[in-house]
Amino acid sequence: MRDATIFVYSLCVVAFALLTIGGHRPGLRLGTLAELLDAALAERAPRIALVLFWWWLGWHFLVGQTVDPSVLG
Amino acid sequence: MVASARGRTGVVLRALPWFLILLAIAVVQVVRGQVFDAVLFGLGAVAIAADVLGTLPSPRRAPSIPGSVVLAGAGALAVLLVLAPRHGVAEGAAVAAVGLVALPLAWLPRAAVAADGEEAGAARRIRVRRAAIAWAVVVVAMCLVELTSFILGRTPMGADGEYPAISELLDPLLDGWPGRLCFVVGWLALGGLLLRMWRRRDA
Repeated sequence: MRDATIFVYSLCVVAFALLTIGGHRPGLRLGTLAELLDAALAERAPRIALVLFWWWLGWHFLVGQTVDPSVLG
Repeated sequence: MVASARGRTGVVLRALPWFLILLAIAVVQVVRGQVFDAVLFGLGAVAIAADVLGTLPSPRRAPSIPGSVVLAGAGALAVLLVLAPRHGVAEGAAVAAVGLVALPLAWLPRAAVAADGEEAGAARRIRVRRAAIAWAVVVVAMCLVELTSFILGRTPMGADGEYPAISELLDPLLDGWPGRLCFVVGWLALGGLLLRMWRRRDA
């Protein structure tokens, strides 16, 4: 199951990359990531939620406890 | 009066998913036993609720910071974050300083974007809606896999790391400088993209 789980995570990363590239293909009529963020960040609630989560990612991986003791065994 | 009430309802409905997302993350952090993280996301949810209810002051417009200043600051930060010992005091102070600048900036209102024409605006809204749905599908799928792994990883089934969370997969990579360099550059770039205030112009 470990490989399957990693495969699904990888699929998501590939999907993010495809969506980023797809936004710049006029034929797909898909907004770019910049356009999407412009629309989302116009209001305070998504701005606070996204910036808070972004900041926490840095804290979680660089400063705080990244892996829980129960997982480390 | 009716229009104002509808506008208010719209603001509440648009803020509600973000409030619930932060609340859900806070609950997961409680399960993890991470008090600081739980309080952080809980406070974020409370701040959103207080803002919608109008109990917090609405400050002035965000300042426009020159791109060269942002790049110089991000470069210095990147060097510090890559070279300082991971989980150390210097690393903690640097990341905390980033938060002390970024979070208040996120609270400030953004400068308006130059408006499109009516036709271009409608086409843009359709493109953005399609992109929002597509990105949301992938983000939700990823969160569900992560949540499933988080839950199963705490059962006897996941005792041997059969259901790794993203943190468990990335953690060893960040112990070496190449992995940490990639993470720090990506993290700062994403923060710059989110805060993009130096590119904003009044309409």
